[in-house]
This record gives sequence, structure tokens and C-alpha cells, in this order.
Amino acid sequence: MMDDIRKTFKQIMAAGFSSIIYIVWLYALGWLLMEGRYRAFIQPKFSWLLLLGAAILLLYLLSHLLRPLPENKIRTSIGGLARAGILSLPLIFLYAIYGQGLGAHALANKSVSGADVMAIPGLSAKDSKLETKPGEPISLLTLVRHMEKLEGKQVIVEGMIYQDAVMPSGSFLLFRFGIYCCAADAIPVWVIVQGDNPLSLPNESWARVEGRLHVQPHLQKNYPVILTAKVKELPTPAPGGQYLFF
Amino acid sequence: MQREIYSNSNHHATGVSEKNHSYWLPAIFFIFAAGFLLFFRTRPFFATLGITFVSIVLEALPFMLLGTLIGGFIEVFVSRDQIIGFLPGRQRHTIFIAAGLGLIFPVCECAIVPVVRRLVGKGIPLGAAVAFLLGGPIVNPIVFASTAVAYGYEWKMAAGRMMLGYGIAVGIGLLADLMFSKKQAIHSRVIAVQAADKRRAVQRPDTQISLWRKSGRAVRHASDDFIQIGGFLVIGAFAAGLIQVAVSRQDFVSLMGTPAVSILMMMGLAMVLNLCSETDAFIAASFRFTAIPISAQMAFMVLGPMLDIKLLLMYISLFKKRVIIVLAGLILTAVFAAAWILEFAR
Repeated sequence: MMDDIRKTFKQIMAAGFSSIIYIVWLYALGWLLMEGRYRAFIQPKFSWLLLLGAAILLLYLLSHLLRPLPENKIRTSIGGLARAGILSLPLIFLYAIYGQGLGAHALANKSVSGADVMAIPGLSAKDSKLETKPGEPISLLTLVRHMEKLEGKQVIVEGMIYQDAVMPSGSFLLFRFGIYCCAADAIPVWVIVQGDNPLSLPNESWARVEGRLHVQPHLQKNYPVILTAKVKELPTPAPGGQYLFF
Repeated sequence: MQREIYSNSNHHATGVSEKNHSYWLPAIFFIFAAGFLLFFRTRPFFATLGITFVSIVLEALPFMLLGTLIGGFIEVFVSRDQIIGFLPGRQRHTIFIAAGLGLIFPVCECAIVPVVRRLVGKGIPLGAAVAFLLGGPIVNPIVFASTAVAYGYEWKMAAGRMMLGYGIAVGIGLLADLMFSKKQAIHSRVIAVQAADKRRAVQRPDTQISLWRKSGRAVRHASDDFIQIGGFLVIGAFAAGLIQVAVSRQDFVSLMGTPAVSILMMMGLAMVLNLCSETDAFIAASFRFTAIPISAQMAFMVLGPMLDIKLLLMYISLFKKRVIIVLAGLILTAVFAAAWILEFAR
């Protein structure tokens, strides 16, 4: 038994940094996939891609471990270390940022002159159904897609708060990010909220907002506004639960 | 003897020659990125940067792994003679076929670089390699479908993207063929696979090697390719994240005054965002309701799969620097000219 372990260890060391990189990446992909943590980065529809990637990495790891020894000596050189360092960098960043989601900085960074809301797929198409249950929140995406149908009705939505200095004291944006493929292509989805009272919550707090929906036309576009809103603070969801997926 | 053959072929095929390799780029990049992590970790932009960087890598990695795997199997299972036999007699005709190969072999831009590396090593002409590299990620059914869906089933938009992508890929393939020889354009370690292929065939004909062993050899080639090229993907993704954080989408849009400037800015955005060709149409479509003309949106969708920061760095593993500069210039000029013509033809 010990001999087997020793032999496997020797093989791993001989296979060099490349094998270590494969092992670490395999562990990271497994960690992301097991409890749906990958949703903090990519669209759930593409989880099979990560599974495919993990399968290929496993294949590569086995090929490194089963490789004849003399060839593997090359891979323990400085070059191997440099490549291993670069390939491990996304994992170091993953560790450093895990638990955080896109927030107010990304809202400002990824927003385009209020056109974000108009860019939601299915906004003009009639293929998405509106399903609401009394007293239950609807997603910001549903609200934006069906704002004309929901006009004048009482709505409940959840999202993050953003208020800047030029906004009146009770007004703020309630926003989340919509993702097509991965967080790099995130588009802000938001609604303007005009509350009854001055806002007491800081930016990036999660909140549930309840109020009457009004559609405000501006420069030939329609924007959703929630009036006379009641605001209730919510605990911050896990990063995987923060995004909306198209 | 068998070990010697594996060792030899692998060495030549992937260029794992430590002495001849420069590691300044990975080293500088690693120090730079690690410095960012150490000094800016608590700043508000760091989460946006980190999430963008990791997302691009996670999205592109499976495609790249698949590309290297396909490349490995091409290396072992397809001989140079078979490739040459498949190509039409006239070299220029190959370019027209190669630019449309994505229709039957749909690959995105992350997967295509390792595949083309292997095809080049197997003797595919330079022009055809360039045409496939540029056309493959656009002229393919998945990209056609995603573009049509993103634009609310506006088939003209999807068809226009295919046609422009094909035309530019053919044009630049022909020009590359005229301007450079293969030896001038491609790294010798990539071409060296041809010599290794011939030598291996003499030493031990493929018919004497079992399918299992050949598959093992293909996976070894593939894993070597991944280690070689993977770093470029990481560096490109980090650079893309950094630029996305430094320059907001609004900054890009606010600079767009005339159609020409809009086209240029959208081309800049395509290079910075580093999106997958199978999903970039959704981002392009998000500009429909702004003042950005269709021609600029088209430039965004045609340029991105051909040239972005991540691809530019991945091209280093295939082409010599001078050729990358020339190709980048040709691509930028061709895309701008095509979008400009489109703007006035509407």
C-alpha cells in the first residue's frame, strides 16, 4: 500500500508542475460545479461545458502521470514553473474574489445611457409569458419585459440599491445584472424607485421593494418606475444567486 | 526505441525546448497581476476586474481544451499526405474552402488556434490556415443561429455577418499567401511537426501502432499544446478584464459621433471585451436602441472573433511577431472598410 502511494507520489512529482496545475484546476472545477458556485461566473446553461473541461483535464492529467519518466524531467524546469504560475492565476483570483458579486462599480462600468433596459431580449418579442402570484416577488427581468402590462399594478421586486448624490433622497435604482454567457457580458437590469421616505440603506444593500409600477416615457423610450415604494432590507444572497440569466 | 519516438515527435511538435523559449512575458505578467492582487484587493473595482477575468477564463477554457484535444488527434491520426490529398490542386482554391470550413466544423475562436497550429504543422498552406482561423469562428451555424436570435430573427443581420466574415477571411487569406511564405510567417517549432511526422512514419509506420497507443499519444500532444497556449488565454483574459474596468461601456458610446467614429469605437470595444463568437451578438444587439449604427454593430461582430486581446496573445503561439502585426493591420482595415461600405450602402 505504502509502496503504491510512494510510487504515485513519485510519478506526480516526475510529471512536474503541469500535473499539479491539472490537479488544482480539477479541484477548482469540481468545487464550482458541486454546489452551483459556477453560477457566480457563467450561465447555468453552460455548466456542461465546465464538466467537459474537467473531463478533458482529467484525461490530460492521466496522460502526464502515465508518461515515460525521462520526458517529464523537462517539465520541472523554470519554464514549467512559469507556465504553471500563469495557469494558476485565475484560481488565485477566484479564491481572492469568491463571495463577492458585481456591484455598484460594475453598474456604472457596464451601463450604457439608460439603454440597458431596452436591450433585454424578449422585450419587444411576445414570446415570454407573464406569470405573477399575489404577494410574491417577480424578477426584475420580468418586470422590465412586461412593464406595459404591469403598469398601475402593485409589484414586488428584489435587487441591489444604488443611489447617487443627484437623486432625490427617497429615489434610487434597484438593479441586478443579466447574463447571457458569462459575467464579462453582464448587462445591468434596473428599475427606478421613488420611495415614501428617505433611503436609509447604503449602496449595494439588497432590498425588497413593493410599490405601484409606472411607465415613464423619456426620449422615445419607456422606463419602469416604482412609486410610493416600501423598502425592506434583505440579506445578501450567495454570489451564484445574485444574477439573472437570459 | 518507442520512447525515443514519442519523445522526439513531441519535442518537435510542441516546441518544448526550454533553451529556446523566452519567459519574460509570463514572468512580467505574473508579477504585475500578483501586484494588483496585493495592492488593490480592497478597491471597489477589484471585484469587477476579478469576476470579469475569472469568467472569461472559465467560459473559454473548455473550448480551448477541446481545441487542443482535436488538434492532438489531428496530429496523430491525420497524416500530412492525407491533408494534402484532401486539398484541391490549386493552393488558392484551398483558401475559399478553408474560410467556410466552420460550416461543417463549427469552432469558436478559443478552440480554433490549437487546431490551426496542428493543421499548419500537417502541411495546410498559409493562406488556407489564415482563412480558417479568421472565418471559422464566424462562418458557422451556431454563430448564425445566435446572431439571428439576438436580433429578433432578423435573418439579414445573421446572413450579412456570415458573408462579411467569409469575404474578409478569404481576402486576408489570399493576401497572406501573397505576402509571406509559410517559413516567414509561422514559428519553426510549429512547422517542425512536418519533419517529425515524416521521420516517425519512416521509423515506425502508423499501422504498426495500436489504436489505444495512438490515442494516448494524441492526448499527450494535446496536453502539451494546452500547457503551451493556455497561458496566452490567461494573459488575454486578464488584459481584457483590466481594460473593461478602466474604460466603461458608456465612455465608448459617448465618443461615438459620426458613423466612422462609431465603427472605430465598436471595433475597439470588440477587441476589449473578448467575447465568445457564439454569444457576442447579444451584446452587439444591446446597442440597437442607442445611436450606434448597424454598420458599427456589424463591425463589432465581425472583428471580435478575428481579433481581440486574448486572440492576439494566442496568435503569438502560431505566427511570428511581424506577421501578427501585418495580419492585425489587415483585419482592422478590412473590417473598417466593410463596415464603412455597409453604412453607405444602407
